[in-house]
Amino acid sequence: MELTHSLEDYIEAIWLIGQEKKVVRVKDIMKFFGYKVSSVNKALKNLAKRELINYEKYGYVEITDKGIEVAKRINKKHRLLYKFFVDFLGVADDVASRDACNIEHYLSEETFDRLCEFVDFISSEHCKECFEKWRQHIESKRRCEVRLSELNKGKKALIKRILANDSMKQKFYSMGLVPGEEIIVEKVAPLGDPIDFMIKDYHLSLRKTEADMVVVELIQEK
Amino acid sequence: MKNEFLVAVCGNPNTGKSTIFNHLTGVRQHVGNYPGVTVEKKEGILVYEKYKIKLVDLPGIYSLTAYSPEEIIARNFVIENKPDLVIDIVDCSNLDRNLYLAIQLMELGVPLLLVFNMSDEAEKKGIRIDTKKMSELLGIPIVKTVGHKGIGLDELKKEIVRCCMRTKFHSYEFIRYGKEIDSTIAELKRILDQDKEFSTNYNTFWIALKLIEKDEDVKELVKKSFKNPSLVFNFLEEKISYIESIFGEDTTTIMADARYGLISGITNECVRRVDVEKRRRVSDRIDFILTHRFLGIPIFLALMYLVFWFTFKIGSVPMEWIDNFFRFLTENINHFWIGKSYLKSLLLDGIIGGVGAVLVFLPNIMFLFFAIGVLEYSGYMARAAFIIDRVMHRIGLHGKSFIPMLIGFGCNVPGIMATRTLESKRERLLTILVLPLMSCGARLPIYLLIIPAFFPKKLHTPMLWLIYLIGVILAIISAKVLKHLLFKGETSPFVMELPPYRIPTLKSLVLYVWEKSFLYLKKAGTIILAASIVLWFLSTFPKPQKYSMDYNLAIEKIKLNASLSDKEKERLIIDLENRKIAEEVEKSYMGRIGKFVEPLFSPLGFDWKITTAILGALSAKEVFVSQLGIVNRVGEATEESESLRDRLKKQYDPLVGFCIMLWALVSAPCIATFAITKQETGSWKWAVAQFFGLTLMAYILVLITYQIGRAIL
Repeated sequence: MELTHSLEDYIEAIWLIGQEKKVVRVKDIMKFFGYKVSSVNKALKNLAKRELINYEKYGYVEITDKGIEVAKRINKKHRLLYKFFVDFLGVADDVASRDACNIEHYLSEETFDRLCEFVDFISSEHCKECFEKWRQHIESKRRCEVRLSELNKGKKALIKRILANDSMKQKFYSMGLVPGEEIIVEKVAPLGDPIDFMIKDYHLSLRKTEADMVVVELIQEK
Repeated sequence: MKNEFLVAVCGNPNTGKSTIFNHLTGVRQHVGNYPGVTVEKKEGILVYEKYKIKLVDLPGIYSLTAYSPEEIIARNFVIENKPDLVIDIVDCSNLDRNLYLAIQLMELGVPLLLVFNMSDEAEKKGIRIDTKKMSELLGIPIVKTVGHKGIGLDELKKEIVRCCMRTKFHSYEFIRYGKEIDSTIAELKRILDQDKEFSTNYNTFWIALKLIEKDEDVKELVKKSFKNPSLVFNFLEEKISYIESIFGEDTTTIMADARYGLISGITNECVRRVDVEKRRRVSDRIDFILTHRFLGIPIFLALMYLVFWFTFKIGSVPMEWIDNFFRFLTENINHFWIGKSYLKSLLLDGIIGGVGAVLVFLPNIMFLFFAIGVLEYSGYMARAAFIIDRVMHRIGLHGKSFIPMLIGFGCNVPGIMATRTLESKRERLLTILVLPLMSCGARLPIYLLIIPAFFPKKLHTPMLWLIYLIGVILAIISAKVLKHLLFKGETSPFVMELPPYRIPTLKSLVLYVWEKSFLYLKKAGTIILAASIVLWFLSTFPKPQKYSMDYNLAIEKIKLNASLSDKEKERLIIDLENRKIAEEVEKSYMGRIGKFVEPLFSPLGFDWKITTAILGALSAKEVFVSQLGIVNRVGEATEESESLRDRLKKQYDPLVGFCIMLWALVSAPCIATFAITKQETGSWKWAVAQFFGLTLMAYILVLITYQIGRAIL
């Protein structure tokens, strides 16, 4: 009996909430996802039909043994993926968590087992030296991520993301400041602020406060 | 058959949009403001064969988001007025960024015509564009032009007419944002279409798209106009969080990404880059000097001095001609129209005086806008802002506020007009509101009269500096306070393009100057003229029925008195005549108002003579001096009048003298400033607020100064 991805998410969430609290209410689940009532109720009904939970409308939700088994299986994948992304690939927390949530549904048992073995193998003594090198590589790469305002004159960088509200983001995008674009620090104003950049083949000047909202990855000149 | 069309002209700043607009319409232009906002609106008529096309120049913008008032104005114009055609002027040397706006116009679903301007610059940069292929891909006609050389403009006119005559135009359904977003747009559109009234008024596809992009303005629109907004927002919220969880990006970014993706797809197919010689571009070499770390600021200051000198020093030459002409006119009328009558007084003092008061600013305005035009069109204006922004930002303003503030020291009227170079509505308004605190040239005679009268010689210069400094400090404080009060929580970021240097064309400069001068004469001129006549009336009427003594008889008596020398006679007669004028002013409406408000001003140390002079100074600040001379019975005085200084010294002490200067500096600006503020902000509200705000500030400041001063001294 195949579960849809969102149902898998629900059962996992119910199990997780159940670990912390004695009883699981619909309210808790809603809070967990931030969804609206209608979709939660529909999902819960669906889960109850498959005997993964016991559920009365507007009442408590109780996870069945069968449900626990399913939830545990999914959660195990989630934790492994998360650990793999963060500790081994050096991905940022929030990105790793989101990716793990998405991939967990697609991962087959076979690949999952292989991945477990691979993680064990890499962390063992055989690979210690090589693994350490890899960690350093990641670390140096992460250090390359700086704010646009921190770059010196003449430096070239790749835009990673913009940390601003939506309307400010839209402004940046309309000026061509989009993730993936290359940007060069052309010069600093005589009084130290603003800064003149070269992007998409034109000159754009930003105050330091605006340049501070742009996360970039420094491109090392060979 | 329809032969009148409405066409909107749109495009990024610095694309030569106004040059093309000017070429298309010539001087048949109408310049004004969008209702109630400080954003300029320009309209013109293009007559081509039997067709009459009304062109509207929309503000220069980079996109159609709700980021700035200019963007909202542009898109609302397109949505509400449903023009027959929208022309998007594109700078082809910077195609990617320029097409971003084009894509957004396509999203709006309007009939579009792209003008690829500055094709010569692109050629030089080694960019070869296959416009025919691009036009086919986009389904939009494209015309190549070189605006400042007039190349391709005839073809453009032809194409405009052809586009207007089309009954059907391509839809832009090929724009895709990825499967999830496309399906969400479609579903959202279906929900929006349920409200028949809403879907006939608005393009629901565009509304759906903007909702997903989290456009605040459109959200408000749906909340207000859609019959069941919660239906939309519940669906939207769920979908957005779903999409964002899949992509790991927010929808705003995904949409922008999709647009740039489409653009790079198109440019990959249609644009070829030829390697040109790798020399540094001329523009960059100029920039190396003009924004140099050490040279940049001296050059900036020198250029600013030049602008000031050009405006006021060179500008004073034609000003003198105007002055001489009016003097000549007055003398001749006096010569031919003997005797005294109210009609003559109305003509000479009221009308000719009023027209003179309007025209006297014109040379300054023309010279200033010529200088600003050169700076703006050459591209230096953006550099000036770049160089000085650090300082101006500290005091809560923008780099581009510098020139208006500087010009304000010469005269507030052209200074306020110069704020037109500020693109951001917020910063422009802020600059206009505090600008009268820049002590203008007309206030100088007041200081020059007062300071030597009350202060020892060694304090003259420091005193003058102090007054100017107080003005600047007050401007800084007011800017900060107003920013907090009016635009609380709104950030005004500095994201500014530094366009390549270009040589301005004479035609565009002449049109620029003509446009500003005409606007001044038509809008501000009428208000100034009307107010001058009102002030003339108040100071002339009513004539006293009975004088306190018979001046004419007294003068006759002196003339016949044989014991007096001729010189003595003359002195006594002038004295009597001055007394007579003083009595006339005292009994006029203005004198009466002056006396009436005296109790209000006595806590400030001002008597009725000063208040009457203050009222007179509304027409122009320097009038304060001559008016004070009249009420003190020394005739029409100038700032060098020793007899007036003696009178002042006898009546007042240095504290009152200082208070007069402080009042002149801060209080209500002259009517010309009032008129220009009304014109430039587009509403009476701001002009009135500025007038009374400054007066109130002056009152409080002078009250505190005087009372504390009295207590100490």
